[in-house]
Amino acid sequence: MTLSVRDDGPGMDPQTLVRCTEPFFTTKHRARGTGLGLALVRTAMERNAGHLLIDSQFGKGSTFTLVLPVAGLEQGPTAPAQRVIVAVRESRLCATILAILSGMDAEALDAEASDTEGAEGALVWIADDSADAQALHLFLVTGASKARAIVLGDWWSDDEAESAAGRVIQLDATPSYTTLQRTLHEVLTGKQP
Amino acid sequence: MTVLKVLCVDDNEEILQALIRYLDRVPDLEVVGSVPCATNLEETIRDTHPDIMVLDLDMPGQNPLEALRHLSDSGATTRTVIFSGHVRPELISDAMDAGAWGYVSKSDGEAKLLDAIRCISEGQIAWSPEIRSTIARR
Repeated sequence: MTLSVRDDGPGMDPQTLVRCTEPFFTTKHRARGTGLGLALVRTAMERNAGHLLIDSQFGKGSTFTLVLPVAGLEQGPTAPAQRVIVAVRESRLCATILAILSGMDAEALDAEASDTEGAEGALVWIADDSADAQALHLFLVTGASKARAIVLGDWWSDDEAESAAGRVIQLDATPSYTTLQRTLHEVLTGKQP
Repeated sequence: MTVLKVLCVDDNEEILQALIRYLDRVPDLEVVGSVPCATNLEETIRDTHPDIMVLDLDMPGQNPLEALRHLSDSGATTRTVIFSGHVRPELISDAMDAGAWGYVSKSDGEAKLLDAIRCISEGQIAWSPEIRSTIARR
């Protein structure tokens, strides 16, 4: 749950923005401000597993957003994390995929290190040309009915794509963060972001 | 002990000096340079060979994200963490698309920046808590 409050005041310069949640930091005269307001807000948010987000543009105003978990959502049985096999060699690309998956509460499995049981539970395989094409093909045609693959680059042949019956999404060999984020979101949630 | 070399780019002199003082106190970090804008970044990096660049976004001169994209396209091995007061989702996406390895909100503070520098040096993408929340809400 989020609650945002925006003002059209003078905004904060970068130096003030960095320090504005520090206890006793104030830009007001001592008689008018204690410097504890935002520090208390931030502490209250953190004690309740939330966050205080601040965006400010100097001369234009500030937006303060309180982010709090919704009661009850965390208390029920949690859905099993979606499993995604990641077979991507390039280090930044791989790290980016892992970061996106972590933000979506999905579990990333290394293609080589994942055991059979883990791989069987996986619904998505994201692979560059270092992947084992035969294993990926088997995953698609014999795996779960919802098994999908995100293939980076044009190494996946048309024949293989045809027999996988539209379960393959092909992206550039080095897709942008935005493309990866959107594609993973669509594949894992079935919704457009 | 392997020392991580860090370049700091911020137009606010006080923040820049505070960053240098903070990072230089960390035993395995060395601030090898500091500049007030993203103009001529390629030359600065060629001269200082940083492992990590801490880059502000709101600066006069060349657009920092354009400069970062140019560096990424040129195959530079320096890994960049954005350290900015702006946390809008589209800015985070633009920074990641431009080749950033991390994004730390200035209001999350220098300690989170240090955490991010360590994560990035180990090959992980690093987002500070405020950035994670912003991405999750999108």
